[in-house]
Amino acid sequence: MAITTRQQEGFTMPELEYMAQCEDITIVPLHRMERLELMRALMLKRSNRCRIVAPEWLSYEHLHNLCKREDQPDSMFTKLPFHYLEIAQILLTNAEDDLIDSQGVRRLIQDLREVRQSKTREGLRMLNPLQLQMDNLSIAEINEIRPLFAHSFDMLRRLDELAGSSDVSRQQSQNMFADQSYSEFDDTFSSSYLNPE
Amino acid sequence: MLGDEAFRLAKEAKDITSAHIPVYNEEQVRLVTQETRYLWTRIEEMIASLNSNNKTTGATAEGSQLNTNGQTSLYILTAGRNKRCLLAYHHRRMEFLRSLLWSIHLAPSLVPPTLSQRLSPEEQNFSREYARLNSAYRDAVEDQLCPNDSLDWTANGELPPRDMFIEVRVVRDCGEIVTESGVVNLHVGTQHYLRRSDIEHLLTIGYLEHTNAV
Amino acid sequence: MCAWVNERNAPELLEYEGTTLENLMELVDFQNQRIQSQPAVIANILKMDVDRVKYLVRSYLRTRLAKIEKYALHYTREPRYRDRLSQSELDYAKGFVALEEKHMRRSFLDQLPPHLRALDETTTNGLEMVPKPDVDSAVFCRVRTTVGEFQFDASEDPILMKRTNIFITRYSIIRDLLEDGKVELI
Repeated sequence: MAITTRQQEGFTMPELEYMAQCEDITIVPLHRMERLELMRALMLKRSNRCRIVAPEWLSYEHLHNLCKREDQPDSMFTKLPFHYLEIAQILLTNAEDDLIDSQGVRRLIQDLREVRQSKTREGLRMLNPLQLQMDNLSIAEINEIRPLFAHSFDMLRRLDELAGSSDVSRQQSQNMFADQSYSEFDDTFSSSYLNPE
Repeated sequence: MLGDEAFRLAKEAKDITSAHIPVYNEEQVRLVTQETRYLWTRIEEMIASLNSNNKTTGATAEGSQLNTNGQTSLYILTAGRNKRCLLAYHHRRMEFLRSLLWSIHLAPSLVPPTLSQRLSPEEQNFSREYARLNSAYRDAVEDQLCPNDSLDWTANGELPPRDMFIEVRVVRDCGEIVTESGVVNLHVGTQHYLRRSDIEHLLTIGYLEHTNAV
Repeated sequence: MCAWVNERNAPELLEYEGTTLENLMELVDFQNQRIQSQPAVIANILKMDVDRVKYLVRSYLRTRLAKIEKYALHYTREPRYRDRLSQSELDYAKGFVALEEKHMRRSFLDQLPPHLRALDETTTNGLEMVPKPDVDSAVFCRVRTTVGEFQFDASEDPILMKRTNIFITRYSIIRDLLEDGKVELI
């Protein structure tokens, strides 16, 4: 087929990394700082023309705090860049020497990812045939759960249609992951990630 | 039993995976079409006899008429089901063919002989015409969008362009490769930091593996 | 990029982004002309740009072809969808319908009784044979501009849809929001 079956079900990891490379990142070219797209930074980095400044969220301390918050019972998903996994992967592979404690960072990214995975699995139990809010999930995480969630959702929908539009009480369960603290995004997030200076 | 032949065909359609296609089962297709034609002749006979019965005897033979009615609907349903199985079987095979063709740059001549043996003459014909349909489309699009350039229309669709280095471990000896930065010896067990585009093909066929993938 | 991601995730065919494609490819043409006269470093960057754009255009068009093949008969028949196809896509869809029919006919339809040879009949138990996209299937979407209170279902309380919120829901529910650019599929 014109695109593969896998692509009809979602995106491939290379495709996600492709998208992620449009995100901006800070580099130090020759003593002064600049912001440019990740793909450009990587090209400069490869030819030793710059050093990449790790985004603030990609530091041991920040990730450590996120892991702790993420691990609290009944917590929301914490805020991370939409492409955090891909950016972390790209930087850990291509600019490891620009990261402080890259081994620790790598381990924490893995931990964070696992905690969040188990949370999404809980989310599956709250799935209903109408809608479920899942704020702050990253695109790689969505892509990972897409086949399972989409199939379950469609199945629930068909069951619902069979049962007639019986009003099962779904209301209270459906917004467990609703992000109440939207303004926090602009405060902690944009300031740390988008303007690291 | 009625419809068994079609069931066998449907089962074969299910056995098609992205990596495997069984030989085109011409005999089974023939058996199913034959059964369907037989059923249809019987259906037409029954309808004809019902009509004439109605005219001559009125409602006297009600019992046998009900019986015939039941028989007729069973035959009609089976004939319809047979057709759906035939459609599904051919449809599934066409899907396989299209995937295959895209993976070999829409060039029917590149179908490996082991596979082309499993295709019916009609399917081989379909492959050629599908490739033609696609090149007509590609030409039209390229004329319109990029008359001076090509879109590399059939390039691997799952791999966006990347200009990045990755760390790889050598799983099987690959000998020496020439990269932008010089000659590299890819000896089993060694690790290298290489430009992805230089070794992508070796990754795909499993001679190298990507280390530290998150 | 957004059009590509939306197209990949939507169960039905979306509006053809002809103007966007033309602009993108004009840019490619311009960059291609510049590449020759640039030093290697810059040329590399430009080449990368060109390759990235080409991938995007190619994958977008191929995503649409895959969808067109899946529901070719339906898309060529319904005016609503026919208007969403480019001329080349419409030709492709028609060609594909003809090709598929010819293959089925020669492989077995011609061997069936004349009454059973149609490809678009409705069977006795009401099953339609022309496949259609399921517009109620599940999609993930992210809010681009705050929508406010939004009713997912007539019998439910409205839910606040703010920028960056993410939902999994039925495609049909957010279709209008998608067309208005208020949400994007992810």
